[in-house]
This record gives sequence, C-alpha cells and structure tokens, in this order.
Amino acid sequence: MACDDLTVAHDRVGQLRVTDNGCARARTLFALPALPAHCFIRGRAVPLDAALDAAAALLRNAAFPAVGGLAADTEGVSAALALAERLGAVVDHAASESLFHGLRALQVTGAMTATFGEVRNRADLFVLFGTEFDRHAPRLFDRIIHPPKALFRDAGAVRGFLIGPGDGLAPEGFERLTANLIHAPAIAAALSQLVAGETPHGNRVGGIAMADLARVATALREARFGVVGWVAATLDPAAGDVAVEAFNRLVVTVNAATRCAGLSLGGKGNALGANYVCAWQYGVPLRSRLGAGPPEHDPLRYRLKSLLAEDGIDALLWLSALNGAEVPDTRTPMVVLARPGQPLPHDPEVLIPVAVPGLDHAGSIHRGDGVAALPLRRLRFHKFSGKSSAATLPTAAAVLNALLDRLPATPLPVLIRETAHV
Amino acid sequence: MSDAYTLLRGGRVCDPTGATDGGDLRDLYLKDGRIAATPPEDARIGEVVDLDGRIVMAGAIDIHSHIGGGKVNLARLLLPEEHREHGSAPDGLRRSGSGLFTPSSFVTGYRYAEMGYTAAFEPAMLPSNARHTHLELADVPIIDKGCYAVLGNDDFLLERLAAGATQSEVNDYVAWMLHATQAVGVKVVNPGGISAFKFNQRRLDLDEAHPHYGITPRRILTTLATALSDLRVPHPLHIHCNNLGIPGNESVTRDTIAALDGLPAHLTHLQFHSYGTEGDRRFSSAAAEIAESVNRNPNISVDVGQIIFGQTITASADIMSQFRNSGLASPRKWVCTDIECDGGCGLVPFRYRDKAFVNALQWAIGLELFLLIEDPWRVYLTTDHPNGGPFTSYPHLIRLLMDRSFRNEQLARINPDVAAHSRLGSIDREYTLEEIAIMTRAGPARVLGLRDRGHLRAGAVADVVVYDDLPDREAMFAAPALVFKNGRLVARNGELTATGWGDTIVVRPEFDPAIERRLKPWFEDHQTVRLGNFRIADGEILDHGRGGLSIVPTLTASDSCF
Repeated sequence: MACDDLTVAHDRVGQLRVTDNGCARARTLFALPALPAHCFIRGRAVPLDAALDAAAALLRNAAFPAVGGLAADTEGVSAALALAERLGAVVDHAASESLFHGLRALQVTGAMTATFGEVRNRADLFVLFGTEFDRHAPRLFDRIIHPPKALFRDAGAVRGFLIGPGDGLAPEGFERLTANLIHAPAIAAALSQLVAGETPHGNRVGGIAMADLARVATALREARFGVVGWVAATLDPAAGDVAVEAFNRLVVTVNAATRCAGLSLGGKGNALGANYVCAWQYGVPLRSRLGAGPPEHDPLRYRLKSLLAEDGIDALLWLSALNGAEVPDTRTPMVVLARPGQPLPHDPEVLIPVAVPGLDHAGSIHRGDGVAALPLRRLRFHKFSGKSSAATLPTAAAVLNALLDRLPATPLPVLIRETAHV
Repeated sequence: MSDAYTLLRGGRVCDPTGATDGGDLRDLYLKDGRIAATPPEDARIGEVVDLDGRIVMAGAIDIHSHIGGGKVNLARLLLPEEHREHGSAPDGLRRSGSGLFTPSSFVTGYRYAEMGYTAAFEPAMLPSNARHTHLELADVPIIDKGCYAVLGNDDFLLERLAAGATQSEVNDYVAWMLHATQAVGVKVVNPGGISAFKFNQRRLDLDEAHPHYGITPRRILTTLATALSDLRVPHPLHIHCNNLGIPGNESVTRDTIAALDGLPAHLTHLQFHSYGTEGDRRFSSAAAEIAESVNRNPNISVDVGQIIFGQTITASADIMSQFRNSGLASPRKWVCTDIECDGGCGLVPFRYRDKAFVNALQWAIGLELFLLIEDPWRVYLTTDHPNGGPFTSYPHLIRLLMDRSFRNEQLARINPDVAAHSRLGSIDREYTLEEIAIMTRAGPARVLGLRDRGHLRAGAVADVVVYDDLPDREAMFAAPALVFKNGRLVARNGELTATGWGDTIVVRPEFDPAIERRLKPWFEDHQTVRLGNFRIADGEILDHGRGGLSIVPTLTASDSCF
C-alpha cells in the first residue's frame, strides 16, 4: 500500500524501528540492519570497480539479456531501464504476475476505479474477492475500511462481503461467502446479471447460493458508493485477468444507476511504479524488450519467469533494492544488485550491494492505488567512520549508471541480435 | 559559458512584440543561452549562421497539451496497439520510445523540438498526482514545461466554500497549492461537476446547486478567478466549462463568460463548448455566437482544441463527461477513476471520422472559432492534445488557417451536410505569418506571464526557430530549418541534432502560511498522504540534473492584466 503515516524511531546505534502504524512488512523493512556489505565475484570479495567490470563484461557479451526484479525507487528503475535499453534486454518485475492480471484486463475492458482516499471517505459497501487480506493488504481495514473519520459516510457503519476460500470470523459488518476463486469470473458475471435485473441460470455459482449472490447484488444497487475489490495475488494464477475483466464489467453495470468503483489490492516492491516508469519512458508496460529496435511489448513472450524456466535468457541483471523481489534460483549467469541481507539461492556471478531507498537515500515510489507517488527520505546516516555499512553503499541508480558507462554507447545492430536468439 | 557570440545573420525576424513583421533582414546575436543586444565592434563572434532571408521566430509555446501525468500514462497502458504501430528505436542521440497521440516522454520532447516548439504546458495536474506528473515531465527532454493544478472539485475547497470561507482564505489555499504542487497556474474542470458525479449526479449546470455542498459552479468559478487575480498570478484561471460536448452547451459557455464579469480568464478547448441545438440533428455550430462573446470581452483568452480526423484518445479530469461519452469509445474500452477527494480522470479512445456529421461539424466549428475571433493575441493554437488530435498535427492546422483554398478543399471532402450547416466556406480570412507567430508564441507567453519567452528581444531565452519560407505552410512548420533551445542547435530540417533538459516553470505568489493550520488536520483526518509528504520540495525536481526551476514573477501594479 505504501503508507506514509508510520512513526519510526532510531535507537542508540542508529538501528530503525517502526513504533506506530506499521504492518509486518514495514516492520521488517525498517528493521533491516545496516550491515557491512562487500561486492562479490562468485563468492569472492572484490572492490566495487572490479565487480562493475565483471558485470559489464557479462552483460556486454549476452545475446539475449534480461533486467529483472526492478524492486527499486523511481530513479533506480529509470537507470535499470536505461541499461536494458542499451543492452537490448527484456524487462520485467519480480511481482508482475498480479500486476498483469489487472493490466491485461485493462487492455480488454478498460476499468472504473477509485483511489484509497476516495474510498476511505465515501465507500459504504465493500465486496471483496480474495483471501489472506492481512498478508497482502495488511492495513486495508484500519486505513480504508474502518478509518477513524470519514467525510461522506458514518465511519463505523460499513457493510461488506468477503468472497473467497477463507473461513473463520468475518470482520465487523462483513459476511463471508465461501467460494473457490477459480470461479471468480462466473461469480462476478452472475452478480452483473443480478444487478442488471436478469436471472442467471442455476441455484449456485462457484459454491455460493444464488440467493446469497442476490443479496450482494441488492447491496451493490442500494449502496451510495460500493467498492468491488480484489487481492490480485490470490486470484487464479492462470486466469486472473479473466476475473478482473469480470470485476470491471460488474462495476460498470452497477454504475448505470448508482456509484461503484473497482479497487485492486496488494502489490509489492514498487511493481506498479516500475511499470509506470516503463510506460512513460517507452510507451509500453513491463514484459517488453527494450533497445533492440522500437520497444516491443509482449506479455506472454517476455514474461521473465517463463524465459528463465526455458533458458531463454543468457545473462540476467537482478535488482532488489527494496523488499519484495526474491532472487530467482536459476542457472542463468546473474548480476545481482541487492540490499544487504537479501537472501540468495546461490552465489551469483557478480553481487553488488546497494543502498535501501527510503532508509539510506531519498527518492520516490508509487502507492498501491497508482495515483499518489510518495517521497522517500533518508533515515539512516553513517555514524561510525571507518566501518562500511549500508549507509555508505551506492544507490542502485549510481551502480546502474556506472555499468551503463562501461557499455558501448551505440546498441548493436538489431539484425545480429535477432539472429543470436533465434 | 563561452564569451563568444553566435550570429544568426540575415534572417527575416518575425517578432510581433518587437515591431518586426518579417519584412526586413536582421541579424540576431545569441550569448549564454539568451538573445543578446548588438555587441560592440570588437566582440568575439564564434559561430556565424547565414540565414539567407529565412523566417525567424521565437520558439513556439503550447499552452494546453496533455503530455504527462497519471492519466496520460494510463492512456498509454490502455492502448498497447497504438504503441506497437508507432515505435522508434534508439540511436546515438535518441532514446527509444513509442506512441503518436500518447507518445512516451522522450519522444514527446524530441517531436516538439523538431517542430520548433520549446515549451509545453500540461493543463490537468491533479494535486494528488502532482509528484507523479513532475517525475514524468522530468523525463521529457529539451523543452520547458509547466503544469496547471486542477482545483474546484477538491473537497477541501468545496467544504470551505459551503462553510462560508472568506475570499482571502481561498486565496491562501490556492497559493499554498501552487507552491506545494510546483504549478504555474490553476485550472478548473467542470466546476463542481466532478465532485457531483461522486454523489451520483450525472450533469451540473452553472447555477445548479451541488448535491452535497449546495454551492453552484458559478460560485466556484468566480471565487477561483478572483483568487488568481488577487494573487497577481499572471495566468488567469484556466477554465474547462461545464457540459463539455453536450449540444446546446454554448449557453453555459456564454453564461460563464458573463459570470466572470470582467475578471481575467482563459477558456480552454473552446471548440468542445460551442455547440448549438439547431437543425434536424439537434447539433449545430454556435461558433459565431461564442466568437462574438469572446470578441466583446477583452478579459477572455481562449485556446481552440481543434479536432483532427483519425484515431486518438480523449483524456480528461472531467469524469462526469467521460462517463457520459463512454459508449462512444473506439476501440470499446475506457477508464474512469474517482481520485482522492481531489478530482477524477476519464479516458475514452475515439476516432474522429470525416464522413460522420458530428465529427465533421466539430472540425468546422474549431476552424470557425479560429477565424471569427478577431484578436490573435487572445486565441491560441491547440488540439487539446490528445483530445482533438496529436500535437504533431499543428503544421497541418496552421496550413488550414493560412491557406483558404486548402481549407476549402478539405471542407469539400468531409460529410457534405457540414458545408451546408457551417459558414466556414464563406470565411475569407487567412492567417498571416505574424498572426501565427502571435498565436503560437507571443500570445501564450503573454497570457502565461513568461517575460523572457515568446519573443526575440535582447534578454529573451534564446529559443529561436528558423523556417524556410515555403508556400506549403504545413511542410514549412513541420520541419523548421533550424531550432535553437537556450542558444543551442537542437534540430535541423526537422531532425534532432542534440538533446538536453528544459526548465520546469512555476509561480509562487505570497500567502499567509497560517492556512496550514487548517490544512494539516484535513490531511491527517481525511487524506491518505500527510501534508509534509504531499508538498513537493524543490530538490525533488532539481536533484536529478534534468533541468532547473524557472519562477514566473507575479504581476505588479504597473502590469496590465494581460
């Protein structure tokens, strides 16, 4: 969600701790120790310059490279994309699976949505598809659904439905309708029909009794401003886009008579921000190949996870300056730019530690609803001279720019590259 | 900085502010990024460029072009097909990119510069989206840019107006917003209507009470126009009127002009607000009536928002209108978003068809407005990019204005009923080069308060464009012979030769900071970003080394309102 209301304390040795308003994810990030960190070539400690030379050599000689992870602030992502453009590389984010459920649906149906601030002050009904809300949108209830104050509704009197596989107690005002989320498209389609006054076939859809769905439809029609929300990461991995299309259609149907908005929940590692930067700089989303001719977007061909699985990449640069981008366990030769303490499946060819945006340097990231970009400030300062710590590490952007400087300025002719990867 | 001058020798300088109408040959000296006075005899002249009588104008300024920010970026994501069709590879100079009507950021800067434009203004920056907008515009190379903050549907202002806030409180709020969002002006979009749509109201007229706050669009308009006038902000309130696109909306447009009662204001994309209800299709041109109203009110400036036939996307903060028009989406996908108790956003792809009566008449209405509004200092060349068409169609539009026979040829090709329903064919006027220089340079600079842009007098920023005087004005304006930005050659014969970074142009009127005592709790209780994080620091724009900040001075008592 990227919350900006945290209280963060320093202890005596400069360690940070979230003391108020943080979720588990934020507490983990801010508690990251400012570890001493070295560059490594295949597990051997080396100076930064040597690591940069080795990384540049690896990338320069690749025929079909990729730049992945992209868990970084705006400047870090920008520099990574520029490097990808120079290399003719494929770009993708570590957490793009959920992102592309929404994006592919957008490109078919469009969307009708609202931002966190609008929903918090206005929404009187929530129909939420998904499960594990605590894990994927930890502060959804305290910041958006039950805020202390709201402008256009009684902050306490919100109704809602949770549609998904979970069981157990529903939050106050909410009712649980147990369903397998594989059926989310059918459930949403039935709701659209019910809202439009039509009668869907059958007595149950996706495990939910039609009478229960009829109550949800009535609630959507009678709400002043309903929200249809979903945790993208918990939708059917193979057809999350189909579900989101159905949600979009449901929202549009409800808006014929009253107001309603879609709300996608979850996301990590500034995935949405990375996609935005790629879109404004190149006109295309992630899962594109940059620099080998005009930007080429193909959400299937350039899905990095698939490319790695089929050995379609011969050199990978992986960026995880923020949390939320696990380094892939791949045989592909890899240059890893990571925050100190990032777990690694094995020693990569080159490892270069980078500073953490928002802890060690200023910058910006995008919030989960896409509209607000938030400033990141530097919170940790190097206190003990002579001891290498994260606070003295270079930023991801600085490392990537240094790599860029080590690569030939003109991209290789497109024809050679195309031949090389066929 | 070099101590040498660059001499542009023997050009026909067309600078409507300096009494040179392009007739006589003149020399122009550039030094340290500025136009210099004629140097002393012994001055060192570095480069000499012989212009051989070519036409010389200041860099062009686009006063209203949606080139960046959340909604433009969402438009890119909505239409991958548009970006697949229009892509460009990187070369030694240019970054790669794509898009025609929603070009990527680097491509936007290159295309403007290649066309002789050296500044463009993003007209719809929602305050809640301001940081994103500036991040995006920081990646638009070469040209200067600025943004208008969108106010007038934000719940803070509406609630304060309903509670009886004084004008001076509103002034402080407006000034605070200009500072906090790093803006150069304020735009109001469908005053009150975007907010009313959130309360499920589908239309709001000028004197209709807002369903929640009870205040009228008229009140919002006049309060904001007064605020900018009181604050001495050079660019007056930039107004997107109520009822965009609705047949018969000409009355609300004329009522809006009347409501302003002499207050300076800029009415934007006027073409979309000049529709009557005559004829069997209940859709007619009211361009003559609207132009007459503009002609009679010297406090009003306008830009036209000309439509150009072909595929584009309409992108607007006016979610109320965009939702109403969503059924017209082509291809059939569209986006509407309610945003942050602040505003909204609507994206509807659209194809303007020359054989469709309504589109063809829209085309004629735009041209009628250009030709019937008499004072070129008060009407500016825009397509409301991308809403009427891409900014790259400006050279074509200039030819339509300068070449009557070309215009009439085009008129003969479109839906034949339009010629019968429009007076366009009977208008003889052809814009002169000097009038084009006014409407694309000097006029926008004046109405934006850009004292050192839009002209070629000593001290001006050395944004200079050299044209071959071709009879085909479209060819002439599409590929200028030379384009200098800050005294540096950036394009030759319509091809980029160098790149760099322009400034972000902002305005900073004085205000009483006590307004923060009201704003801080508002942010904490109702917004999802705190005040301190909402405000954009100068360093966020300056620290990346991609262009500086340029502060437009507020007006002084000796300045006229324009």
